[in-house]
Amino acid sequence: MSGPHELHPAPPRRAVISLETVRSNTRLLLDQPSSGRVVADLRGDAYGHGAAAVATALDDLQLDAFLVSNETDAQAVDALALSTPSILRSRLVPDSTTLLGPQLFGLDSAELRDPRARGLLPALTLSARVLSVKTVGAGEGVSYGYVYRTPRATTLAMVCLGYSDGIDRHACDGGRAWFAGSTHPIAGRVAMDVFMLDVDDSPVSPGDEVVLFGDEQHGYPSPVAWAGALGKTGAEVTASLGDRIVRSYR
Amino acid sequence: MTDVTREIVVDLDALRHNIDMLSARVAPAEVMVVVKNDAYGHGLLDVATTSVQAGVTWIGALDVPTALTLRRGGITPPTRIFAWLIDPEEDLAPAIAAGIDLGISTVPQLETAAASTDAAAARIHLKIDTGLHRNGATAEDWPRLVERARELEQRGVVEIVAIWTHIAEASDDEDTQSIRRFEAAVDAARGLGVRAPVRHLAASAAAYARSDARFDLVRLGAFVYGLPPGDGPSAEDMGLRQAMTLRARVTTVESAPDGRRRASIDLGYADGISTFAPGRIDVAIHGRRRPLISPLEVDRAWIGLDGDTDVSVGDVVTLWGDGSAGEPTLQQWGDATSTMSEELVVRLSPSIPRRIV
Ligand SMILES: Cc1ncc(COP(=O)(O)O)c(C=O)c1O
Repeated sequence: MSGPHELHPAPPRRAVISLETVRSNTRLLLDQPSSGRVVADLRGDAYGHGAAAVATALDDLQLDAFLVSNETDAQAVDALALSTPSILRSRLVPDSTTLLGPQLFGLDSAELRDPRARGLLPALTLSARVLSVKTVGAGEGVSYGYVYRTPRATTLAMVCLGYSDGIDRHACDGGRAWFAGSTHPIAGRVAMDVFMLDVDDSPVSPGDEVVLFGDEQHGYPSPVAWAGALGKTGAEVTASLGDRIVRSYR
Repeated sequence: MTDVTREIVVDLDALRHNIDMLSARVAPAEVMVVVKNDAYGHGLLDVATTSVQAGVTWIGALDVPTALTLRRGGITPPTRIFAWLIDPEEDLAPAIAAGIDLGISTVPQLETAAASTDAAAARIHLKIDTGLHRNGATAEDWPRLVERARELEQRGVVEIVAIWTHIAEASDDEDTQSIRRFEAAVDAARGLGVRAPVRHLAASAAAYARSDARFDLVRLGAFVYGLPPGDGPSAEDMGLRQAMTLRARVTTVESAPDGRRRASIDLGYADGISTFAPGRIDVAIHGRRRPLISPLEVDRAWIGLDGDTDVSVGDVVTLWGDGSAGEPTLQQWGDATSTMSEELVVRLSPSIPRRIV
């Protein structure tokens, strides 16, 4: 049993969200001239970033309202007793409202393809633990259907994120994740709970951390690039991340 | 549907039917019902409890937290609970104390399990990698893993309950090779003194199709829920019944900017609806098929009404089910969106109310 002095281990699947990044993105967007009301679009639990935490972080930025998806989310935001009200879609006046949604989180959408070009940075870093590692020879099939064959003798790391966590089953088609300073290909179909990463000859051990996407300044794939490889927008990816992924804020 | 705008309906009769049919088909092998990911979105405790009542003696939990939730939820011994996704940072003592069976692939995992036992020996299932290359010991590492497990068994800290593997379902030939490798690993373990282990290899597809894959126990997930693989025989053709129905009420009816009539429902991509669905799949309203159309929004989807003038707010839209209300099945959804039905059900948001019937 863990003693009282042992730290609780970090959760195996993590989304670390920088509220400071959300705030600076918001300030940048508010600096641009707009007419009418300015509403922060926090639907889909703030596109997976947590509507309550984001609303709290944005409360002093003079937004006119927080748009949420349903009564339950509205009650959660109202319970925070903020000065900015929450509203549902039925109370939105489309023509006289500027809606700030995925761009608050540095994410692309159909309206804004390249948020970084506007200085908007991704707020969410998605990472997961390596559960086990193994070395295999060249030409070995990996995961269901053996759609991936090892191009050479290599090391495979089993990472504990799968399609039930919102990582598409077909993310192996071009998807890469960051480990120890560079990105590596996802080897084979993403399974329900894990995927395999072909880390080549990088030394890797159980307990190490793999980053799926985050701020590219740190060398991580950006959420925009990650989503683009799947034929999606970043907002679509973060909003559908599963609840086994533990959100934390910094 | 009463006052909710969307709901998941789970038919426990369908589940019982599938369990009975599959149990008879794989006998004398026993059945483990796999309930990972909230029982593939069907509800962990409802499915586990129904399975036990239907005579199932093994429940596959995936990981230790899920296994402990099951024990706390009333799935008590003699029902066996199996957890195989082991986190290197995890304390295994609570699992061992709760009588959880652990899938063990490496010597370090074995040592952790052995060091975490208090009174009872840790019940372990040793895993061999027969080609999938996820976890499981390689053939090279296998003798060392088995020998160490035997030493610990003789000291009374572990009990080798089973030998197991998981296969790639890549092709019949590849699976046959995996079966051969598995048999060789079992023989090697017996040679090293392992007595009468329970042998398990197959998940749904191989358990259904191949008597030579069944051994002593099969681990069934998808087929228990009535979810056959894509591009093949339907659930009905296989004697299975799809247990899950996804429905929503129409929340608006309006003319789209292009003048065409459309209706919305409160299910969007944040709720787990596939972004590949619009334009590729139909849903059912009043027993008639209507297309899901773009855009799929974060919290709502649109349905094209075309000439249909008798759809109004509050009408029930069936997205998927067993087909009895004219809707497509999950297999058809999986085929249309280039994935498997499992991906569609496990990605549904837990915020969608679930009703058990
Ligand atoms: C080890 C193991 N056994 C059995 C299953 C059940 O598989 P299926 O849903 O194909 O029956 C799974 C699920 O992927 C699994 O990981």
